[in-house]
Amino acid sequence: MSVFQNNEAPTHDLSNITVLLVEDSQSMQSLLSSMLRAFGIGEVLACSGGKEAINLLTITQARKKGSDIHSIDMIVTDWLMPEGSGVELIDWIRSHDDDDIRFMPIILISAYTTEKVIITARDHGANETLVKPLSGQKLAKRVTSVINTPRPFIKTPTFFGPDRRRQTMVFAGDDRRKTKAEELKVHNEKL
Amino acid sequence: MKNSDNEPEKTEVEVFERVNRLKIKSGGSEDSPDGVISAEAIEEADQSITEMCTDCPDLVNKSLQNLTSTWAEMKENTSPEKRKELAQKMFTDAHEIKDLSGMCGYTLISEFAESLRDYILETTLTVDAQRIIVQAHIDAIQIVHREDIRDDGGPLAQELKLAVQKAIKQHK
Repeated sequence: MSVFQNNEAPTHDLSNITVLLVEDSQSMQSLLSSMLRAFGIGEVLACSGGKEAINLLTITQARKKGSDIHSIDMIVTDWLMPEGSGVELIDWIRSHDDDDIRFMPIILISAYTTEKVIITARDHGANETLVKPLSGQKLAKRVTSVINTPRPFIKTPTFFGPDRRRQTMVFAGDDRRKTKAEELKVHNEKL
Repeated sequence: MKNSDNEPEKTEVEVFERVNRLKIKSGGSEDSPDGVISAEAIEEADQSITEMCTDCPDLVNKSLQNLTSTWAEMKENTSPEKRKELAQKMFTDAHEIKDLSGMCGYTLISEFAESLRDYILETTLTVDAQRIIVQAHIDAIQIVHREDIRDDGGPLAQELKLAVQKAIKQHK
C-alpha cells in the first residue's frame, strides 16, 4: 500500500485525531511529536512511560463520560521503558473492560529487529510494529494502515487483539483452525 | 471446553467487527477510498529527523555528561536504594544515547550505548567486575564521541570494540 499522494486517493484530514505518544527518551519524544504533527495530527499528548500512560488514559476516560472532551484515538508507544514497558501498557489496554480503551489502535516502536520481537508485539495485541530507525515514510505507513485497514478483533481464551492473520485470500491447503467459520461468535457493531 | 468424550476440545472464538471510527474522524466514511498522508507531510516529517540529527552531537554530549556524572556518584554510593535510583538514571541516559546516535547514523556509539543499557538492566552494578565492564563501555563511548567516529569500519573502532568485548569476557 502506498502512503504517497496520488490522483485517486484522498488525503487524510487528521486534525481531529488525538494521539497518545509514550516514549521515555526526551529527544525521541520531541522528534515523534514533530513527525506526527507534520502529518496533520491535531493533538499529540506525550508521556514518558507505560505507568504514566495508564494514569492518563484512566483520567481522560473518566473525564470523558458525559462531556465533549477529546478522546485519545491512537497510541504510539516505545517498547523498552523503565517506567512501564510498551508491552505492559498493551496488556493493560487489551484487558480493559471499557470498549473505548480495549479496542484502541496501538503502534509499537522497537529498536529490536528480531522476528521474536515482532511476534511478541503481535501476540500481545499491537496493531502495528515499527522498527527503528524512524523515517517519515515508515511512520506514515503504520498510521495509514491503522486508519485504512483495521483488522477485526479476535478474542480467544489466551488472546485478545487485532486478527493476527493479515492475509484474506482463500487458502487451498488443509484448514488447521480449531473453530469453523460458522461456529464463530461474531459481534458486528453498527453506529 | 469438551463437548463429549469423543469430540476434540473446542476453542471459543469471538470476532469483533468494529465501526472504523478513525477513518470517519479522518474525513472519510467506511466505504470511501483509502486515504493517504501527503508526500509533503512525509517530507516535513523527514525534515524533523534531519534537524534533530544536526543537533545530535550536542544532545549526545549532554547525555554522556549526565551518564559520567551519575556513574561517578554511583561508585561513591553504597545505599542499595540510592544505587537503584542511579542505575535507573544511567539506563535512561544510555538509552537516550543509543536512540539518538542510532537514528542519526552513529552506529558504533549506538552499539556501545545499547550494550551498556542492556548490561545495566541485568546487573546490580555493585561488584568490582561489573564496574570494570561499565567503565569500559563509558570509556569507549567517550572516545567514539570525541573522535567523531560514525561506523565501525576503522582501526580505532575495531580496537575499541575488542577492548569492550575483552572486558565483558574477562569480568562477566
